[in-house]
Amino acid sequence: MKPNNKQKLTLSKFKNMYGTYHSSLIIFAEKYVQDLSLAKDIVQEVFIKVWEKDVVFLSQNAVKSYLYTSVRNKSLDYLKSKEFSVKKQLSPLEMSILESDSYFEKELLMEEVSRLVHEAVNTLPYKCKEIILLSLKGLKNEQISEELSVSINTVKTQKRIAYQKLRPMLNGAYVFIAFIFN
Amino acid sequence: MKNNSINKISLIAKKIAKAKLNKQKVDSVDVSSLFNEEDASEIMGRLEEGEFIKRREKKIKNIEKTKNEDWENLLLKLHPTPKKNYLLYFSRIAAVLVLSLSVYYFYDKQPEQTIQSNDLTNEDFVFDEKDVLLKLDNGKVEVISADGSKTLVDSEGKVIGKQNGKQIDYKSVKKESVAKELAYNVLSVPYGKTFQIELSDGTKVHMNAGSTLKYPIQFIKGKKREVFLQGEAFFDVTKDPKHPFIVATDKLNIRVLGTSFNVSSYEEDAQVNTVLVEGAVCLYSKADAYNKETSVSLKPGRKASWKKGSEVIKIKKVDTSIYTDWRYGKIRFKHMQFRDILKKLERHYNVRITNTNEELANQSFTATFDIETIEQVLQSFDKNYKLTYVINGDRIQIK
Repeated sequence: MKPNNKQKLTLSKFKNMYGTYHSSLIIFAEKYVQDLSLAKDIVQEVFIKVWEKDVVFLSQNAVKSYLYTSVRNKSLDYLKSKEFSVKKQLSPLEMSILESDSYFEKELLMEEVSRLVHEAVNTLPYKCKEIILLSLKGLKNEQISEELSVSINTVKTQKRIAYQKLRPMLNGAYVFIAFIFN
Repeated sequence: MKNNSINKISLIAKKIAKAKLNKQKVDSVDVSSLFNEEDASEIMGRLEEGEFIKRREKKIKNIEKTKNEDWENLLLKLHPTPKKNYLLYFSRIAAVLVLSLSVYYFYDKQPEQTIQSNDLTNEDFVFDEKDVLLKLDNGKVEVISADGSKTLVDSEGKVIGKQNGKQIDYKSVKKESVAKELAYNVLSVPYGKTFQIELSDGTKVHMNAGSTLKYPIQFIKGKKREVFLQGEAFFDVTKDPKHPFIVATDKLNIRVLGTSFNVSSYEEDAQVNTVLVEGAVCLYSKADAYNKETSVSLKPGRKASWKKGSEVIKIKKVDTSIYTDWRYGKIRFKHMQFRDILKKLERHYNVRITNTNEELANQSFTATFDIETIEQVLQSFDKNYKLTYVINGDRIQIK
């Protein structure tokens, strides 16, 4: 069964999906398997599955739901595998925490926030971006000025510009998630 | 993972991201609908923590270093370039092997209860233990006796249809006037029986046991042909591209132009199944208006199953006869769980079965029955899987 072309996951939609979620999914998988390169493999497998199964998504949340749930399931499968058990044994308590919905929801929420912030900041001009990133890390204006060897006034001006540019996005006038259904 | 919480998480994430970028404290966002206090303070704490952001940034850098390379590797895996001599050989086998495929169909909108005014209402459900009942447009209920015949009239006394045995015909009756407004009849088939209707447009509906269908006495030119089903029916729809034919079930609509297919939407079943024999049908959420782009289209030889409450429709290539042979008095199932088989048996034999054997309930079976009695059916299960049963009139107990 191939649904009509509009619904079909085209390569460009697939690439868009990969671009949007690839990094976040890896970071999310790493919260389970504690190993970044392994997390990469897991995410790669999930994307192969999406393509081969020809999964059709009709909303952004559906994409999210499918991808994150698949990554979690694959990660948990790994933690229960023989391959893993020779390296390390998780206690039943640790395992039950990792398997819980609340762990999934917590980690997903934090990663979503980070992804959205990262995406919004990425739309800024380079200098603004650098300053905002440091500011988000909790650095004070003086510290930023030192770190980037620019004047405090530059930091303040750039910050103002940044927030001006971010404001329309924050008000929702600008869609700052790269929708794959455009 | 419920989609509901994904929606909530997405919404909350957006709010927190906004707060962060607005230099507001992130804990101004209320997360209590999803998280308890302890989790909430952990989340807020970590999101404010500079160290958390730094660590993530480091990982992102590491990931992005190989991102393009990973993408290319992925493409290679998706489109392997097999050697030529393998190609012919494998493409044939692949066609046979790729039998099942899932399509994920998500209702984007919350399923608001937009009950169409003509939809089946509680009052439409008139059930009888043993007789087929017909509810007329004036609310009067007639008993249809399977070996009798009857002339059906509407509230004004005009002849609208003829019943002959297990069949009602609305088509061949000469209409005295063209209907201007839709008037409905509701037919209810009890357990243990089936019934056939020929609608005014010539569409044939074969109704399975324990089913109710609401349909206009006469379809109106310029309006879509819409009927409402609870239970199971096989439709052989008369082709009329100007007037799409819609079968509305509890939450799902099936839209066709002219085709034959089977719909099973029993209240007690967890799934709504649509099996297409020929032609083409589209499935879409009842909460939405029909939209070519967001509805799921089904090809012949496929079954679409929607698990109630989920946002997913799965499509699978099937032997359609398994789903339509009930019209010839057969009960067929393939890899079906015993708990679901019981529901089928109850409807077919008009019995009430209680099963306390949980392990058996989860077992799957494949079989075909036609002339067997319910006792013979149970015996054949007993041969494959030890079970004890007690038959007491129309009550059966399985342990």
